[in-house]
Amino acid sequence: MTDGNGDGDKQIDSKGHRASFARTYEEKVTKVALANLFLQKEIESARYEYAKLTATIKAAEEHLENASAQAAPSLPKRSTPPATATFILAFMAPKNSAQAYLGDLEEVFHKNEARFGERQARRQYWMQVASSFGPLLWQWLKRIGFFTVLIHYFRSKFGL
Amino acid sequence: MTPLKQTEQVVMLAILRKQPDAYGVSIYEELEKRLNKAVPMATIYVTLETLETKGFVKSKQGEATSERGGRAKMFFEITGKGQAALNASLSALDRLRAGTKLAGAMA
Repeated sequence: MTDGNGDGDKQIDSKGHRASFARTYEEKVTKVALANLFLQKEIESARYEYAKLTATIKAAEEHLENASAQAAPSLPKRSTPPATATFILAFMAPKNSAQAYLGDLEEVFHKNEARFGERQARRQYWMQVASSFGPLLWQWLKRIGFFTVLIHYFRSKFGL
Repeated sequence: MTPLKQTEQVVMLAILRKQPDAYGVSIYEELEKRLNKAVPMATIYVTLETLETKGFVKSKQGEATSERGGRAKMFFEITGKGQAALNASLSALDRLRAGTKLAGAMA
């Protein structure tokens, strides 16, 4: 009897344990499902907020671009020294210092432009070119030995 | 020693004053400021070339800037030989001037 009752108790305990386990399992599954649902809602909400913020930022950027385009005056076009004058100088100047010489004149041109305006700067650039003829021509004649040739010519011509 | 011309003296003195930033524009501006007249840039370059040929001045390539149309600067400095020549030339002038009286000269 005792053995039979004991088996019955064990079966009852086992059934109760299973039922309790199933209840706990169901509760946990429900909790996880609820948490999952809550997370999905949060993600959806975040996505919506993100889309909303992106649209706001885009609109603000467009607005800023339009405002800066309207407010900023167009940048003044940077002028360059007279091309003809530069060409003449490049032709006349000694090869080793021509680039430095032209660069210096361009630097002076921009300084004069800032101080006196473009018209005056161009005039002064041309004056620099005009005043370059004498010294550069003299230097060129010396470099090619023109004066030596000339002296030799006169010596041979007049028997000196 | 090769005697120096007046243009060579003033250009060398301007280089000395503008060291280590002595290039065409700075020399040009220094001469304009100190002599109260503009010396043409070509005259400065021709003088510098002569001085370099004589070995009184040496040059080196600098950096290029946009305000120069991308062209590099050429920096100049006086050599030991150049300093000796300049010193001799100025001393000769000083000796010649010593004891003379010029009307309107500064004390």
